[in-house]
Amino acid sequence: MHKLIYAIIHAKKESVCRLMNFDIGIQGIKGRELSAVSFNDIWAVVSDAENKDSEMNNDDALEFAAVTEELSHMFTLLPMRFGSLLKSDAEILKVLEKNYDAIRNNLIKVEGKSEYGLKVFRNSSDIIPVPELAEVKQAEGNSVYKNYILNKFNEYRADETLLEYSEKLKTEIAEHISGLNAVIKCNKVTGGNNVYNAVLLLEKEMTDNLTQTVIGIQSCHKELNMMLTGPWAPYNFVDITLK
Amino acid sequence: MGADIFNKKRDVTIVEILDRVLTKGVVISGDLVISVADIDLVYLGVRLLLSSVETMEQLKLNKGKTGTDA
Amino acid sequence: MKENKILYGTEDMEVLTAQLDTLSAITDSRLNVNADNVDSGLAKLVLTLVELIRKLIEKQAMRRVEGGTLTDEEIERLGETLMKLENKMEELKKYFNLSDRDLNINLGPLGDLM
Repeated sequence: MHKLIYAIIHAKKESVCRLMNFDIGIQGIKGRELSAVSFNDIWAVVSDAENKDSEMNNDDALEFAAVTEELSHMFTLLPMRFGSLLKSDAEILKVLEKNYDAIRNNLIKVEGKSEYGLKVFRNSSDIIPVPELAEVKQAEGNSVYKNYILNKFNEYRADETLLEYSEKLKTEIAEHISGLNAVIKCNKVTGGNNVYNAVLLLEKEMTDNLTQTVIGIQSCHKELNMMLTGPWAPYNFVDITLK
Repeated sequence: MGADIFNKKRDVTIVEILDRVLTKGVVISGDLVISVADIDLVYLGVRLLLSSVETMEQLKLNKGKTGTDA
Repeated sequence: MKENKILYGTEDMEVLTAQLDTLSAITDSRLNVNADNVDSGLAKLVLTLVELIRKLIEKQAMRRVEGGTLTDEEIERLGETLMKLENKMEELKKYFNLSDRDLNINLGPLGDLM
């Protein structure tokens, strides 16, 4: 029987028992029972999984995330990416033991903190004007190939301008948020009208302050739409690949 | 209208969750794990290659900007 | 779990819809790869790599154009090459039944490919 790992939690007391029931009123996906594999103060929360669970779909992923969500209300944890199975409890124990320091450091880094997502969209693409160069204008006599290059070049200019705009926005938002003692990680924009896409890690109690700060930024920028989500388990702030 | 916004917001939440649980979070290195989506393992291995292509490109660009490139 | 996680957000429907569009692309491409469609999974991987390199070449070319040192003749040749490359790519995508979205693979810690 394979094992599906949901999250690695930081248990306050060390455990000598290496495999235990983990009965805290939560079920795994598809109603499966949760158990825990522990090494000192770090525990992997797992459930059984079929070898050929090829029927896994988005709904299973959502159920999986829901388990992590519930656990995150009770423990400091590192969420696992969906879909990783290990062969056995013994194998999981080996992984915990081998990666103990990295896991523990990451757990301490996220203790008492939550992740938040902040995305900013522009109302329309007009708010960032693209400078037009005389030489990139299309002319009647141009060949197909030249026009092709000119079109591409215009797209390139538009992209570069958007990039510059995003960079400025990053600096501005960072200044506004600086008082909240947050770690900000900027991801690539998702395309379309998205001009800013970041995740933040900060103290759970600071949720309201963050919301107020975002509302404050929004009020200075009528041309932008902000979207703040959270609190999430620290999915974006776990920098480890378990070996 | 109100219900529509409610649904959209719930959908956005679902998409945000999926984005996290499918593309973020702790991963286990490919040689240990049995993934439900086999191909993902290939992608993980390809990451290194890609980052070196990007780094190379960056180096080339920087060189170009300082004028040592033709 | 289906609770609303939006702490603050615009009531603007268009923005929400756009958000759904761009993000669902990420999730669509991740799951549902199994032995039955592993071929198209591989084609996707290979074409994604080719497309990445094509885009890098294109960007490099645009930097040359921006520099303003290219002659008309060079621009012509560059245009022909890039256009043919793009057309070829379109053919391949059609052949393997892949969309641009399919080729934007998310690679975890490194972020999106393109």
